[in-house]
Amino acid sequence: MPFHAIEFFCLFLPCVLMLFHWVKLRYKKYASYVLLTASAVFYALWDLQFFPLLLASIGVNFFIGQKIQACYGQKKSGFYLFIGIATNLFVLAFFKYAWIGEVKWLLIFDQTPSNTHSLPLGISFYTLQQITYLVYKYSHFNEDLGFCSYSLYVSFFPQLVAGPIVKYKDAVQQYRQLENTPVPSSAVISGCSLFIFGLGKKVLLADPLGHIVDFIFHAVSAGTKPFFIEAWVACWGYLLQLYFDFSAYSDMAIGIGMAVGISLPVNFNSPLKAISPSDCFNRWHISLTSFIQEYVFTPTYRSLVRYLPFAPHTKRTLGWALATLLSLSLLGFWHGLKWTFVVSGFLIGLTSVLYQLILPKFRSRKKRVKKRMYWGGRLVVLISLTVFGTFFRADSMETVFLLLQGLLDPTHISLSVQYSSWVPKSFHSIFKFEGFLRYDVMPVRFYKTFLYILLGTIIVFKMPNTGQIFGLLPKSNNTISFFGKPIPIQFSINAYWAIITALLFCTIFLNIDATFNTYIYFRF
Amino acid sequence: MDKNTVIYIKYFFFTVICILTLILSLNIISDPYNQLGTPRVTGLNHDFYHQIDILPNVGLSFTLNLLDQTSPSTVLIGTSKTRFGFNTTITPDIFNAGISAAGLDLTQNLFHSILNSETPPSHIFIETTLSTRTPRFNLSNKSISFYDLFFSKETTRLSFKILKQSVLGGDRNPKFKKDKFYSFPYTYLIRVTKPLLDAVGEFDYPKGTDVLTWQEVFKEEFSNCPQNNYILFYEPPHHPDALKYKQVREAISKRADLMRSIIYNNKKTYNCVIQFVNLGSPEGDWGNTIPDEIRRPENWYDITHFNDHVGQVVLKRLLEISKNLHSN
Repeated sequence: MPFHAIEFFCLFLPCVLMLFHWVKLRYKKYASYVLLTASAVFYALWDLQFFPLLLASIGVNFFIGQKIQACYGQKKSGFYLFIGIATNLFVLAFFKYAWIGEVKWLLIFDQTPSNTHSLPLGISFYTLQQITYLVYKYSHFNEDLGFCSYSLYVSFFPQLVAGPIVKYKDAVQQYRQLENTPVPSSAVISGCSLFIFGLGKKVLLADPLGHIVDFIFHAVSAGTKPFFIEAWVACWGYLLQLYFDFSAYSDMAIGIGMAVGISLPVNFNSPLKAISPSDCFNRWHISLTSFIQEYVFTPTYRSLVRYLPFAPHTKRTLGWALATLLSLSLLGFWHGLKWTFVVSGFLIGLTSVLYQLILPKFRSRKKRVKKRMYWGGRLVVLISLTVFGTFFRADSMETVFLLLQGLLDPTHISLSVQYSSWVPKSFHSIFKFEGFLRYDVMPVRFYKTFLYILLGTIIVFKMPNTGQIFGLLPKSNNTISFFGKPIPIQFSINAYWAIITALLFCTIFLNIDATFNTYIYFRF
Repeated sequence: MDKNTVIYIKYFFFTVICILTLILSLNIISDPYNQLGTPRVTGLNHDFYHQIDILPNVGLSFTLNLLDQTSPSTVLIGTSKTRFGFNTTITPDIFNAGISAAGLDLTQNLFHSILNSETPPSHIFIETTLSTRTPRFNLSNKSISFYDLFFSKETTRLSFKILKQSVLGGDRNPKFKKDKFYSFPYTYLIRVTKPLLDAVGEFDYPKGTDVLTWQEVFKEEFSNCPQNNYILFYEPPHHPDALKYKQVREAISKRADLMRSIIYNNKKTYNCVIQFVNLGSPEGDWGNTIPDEIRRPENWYDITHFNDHVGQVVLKRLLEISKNLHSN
């Protein structure tokens, strides 16, 4: 039952919200049980096969957490921490890599690698959350969450299947006080409206873009060489789809959280507006990059700085570069054991390292140079994200190379046949009129494609993001420029926003596409 | 609850209810798939049923549902060619079950369901083109949902078109606009030749792979079909300009020969009467020559879809042939 299923947003979610607030008013100590039951039902309805795995994972981690706490400050707690993290990573690796059929050596477990096995829903996310719990237990002696609250922290249905990843230290207080924290009606309204905006991004932008992108990627994986425009549409379109799809899910999760008084972290902050690779990491899938930074990058960097046999400055630079490369390769590896993921992670790391190393040589106080640096940085981010996104989406390296060839070859452009009479004959040697990818002679897909790409691009670059509109990122700029005049776009609870949200809801409702019912990040 | 929240909730629900009620009413009045039995009123909601492009994802369910209500003696199965080409709203005994982009899987499933219905039609005419001989994996067995009937984007789009055409008039067919197509000769050239010539290469014509797949899929249906059934597979007419190309003509007649020989050679294994008719090329089963209606470009919506004038001629010929089969 994905968030954009009619049964979810017209039946399940309203029922859960009404029941939760009713119970909170009448019998407030049972309110978290409502959410816990809803989460269990949500997961079981979707993935009953792996529901016991989720229960087992929660039980085992809670038990290990108790053990760590029981021998806090002793060497034994380190041992328990190691056991806990190793168990979590083993389970994650087993299901993620062996069952998907990409690691031959795990055949010793007598599991036939096959793509027919599905990945347990949300395993990549709830495993990481529980690692933050174990680490917190190891480093803090603190009053524990009860088993019920802990289970809710791990399985809270909006963030269970695709994040945002909530670190235990950020969540512990609010889950502990969930029953006693009042949820104002304005928060419920804002949360529900944010959910609708997220749903809009998914249904009206990500899914149509997905149809276009899938069409080209399928054709290219079947061996068709894409021409210039097709390659750019595929790569840029995929980047837009990925951003809208995943940020939509995060918006919806945050919205539902708001409506029940649980604050989930913002996961995206207009990453395509980033001015450097490192800035981009602070804006894209923030909860995961923050996890990697805290639990992988920082310890690695510290160890390298401590043990590398170089001068202090070199040690710091080299340590930083190696830690960045390792962390980002691991980030790629986390998505799945495919060369395309690992390579994309490594390349993102490499770009970031090179950019940071080269950047100081161009620094200047001159305004013109600063401006160039700003636009240069943005261009580096956009080009690298577009190219690495291709690695991320393609099912093989051959597909990546075909697309990259297309991207870099502006001498071959194929337009829809309908446009042949619009182009002067002298240009007919450059332009071919064989249709979009030579399969599709209909102009409909051609102009719809550009319409969606253009719309997506304008929204990404010119509009404030949902976090800014809903005041989740209070310090950032939430204005759009209209003929040079800045106009703030700030959600507030009044009649205008009610009508805007209602119109958006109706448009979504009429455009639900039951055939395109998945989120990109569910498969990770 | 504070005042602003109450205002927000009121406005939100008022707007949503108004819009959805409007859409619901529109879809009930237009009833694009003829599923609700809404009475047709001239100038308001004309019956454009055969000109509505039913899509594969809902096509099977909608078509079977409607078939149950009408129980015709003759059913036409096929793609959008069939759907737009035959106006069967004036002949209640003949039912148009054409579904846009129908592939082999969808055609076979529809055929099977029709034959196994409570009162199967005595005559079934099945369009055989590359589309209906090739699995397109677009079959959907999903039942018609409340959402599909009253709120889906497709239903609403078609309802708008019906209302617009009924009230404002305009082109008879909601899908095609002739002038758009004919203004681009280069486009037209590509669209005439390329798909057919590609098809020859792509589907390995000499071996007739698509025809063999078709035969394999339909084999069981043929041996189980009721004895009194007459099933005609027909190659539909092609655009006169397409027939100017030798390769196109050859492709059509070679495929037709293959279909004919397969059906003839397996005749003994069939339980019902099965025949293949080639109405696609000049040397086909038209008797002396292709009728003038087919030769006239104005009787074609585009290079692949003929209009009802051609449809009537084709239907007449198919009925004649099936009558001859009866007498034989």
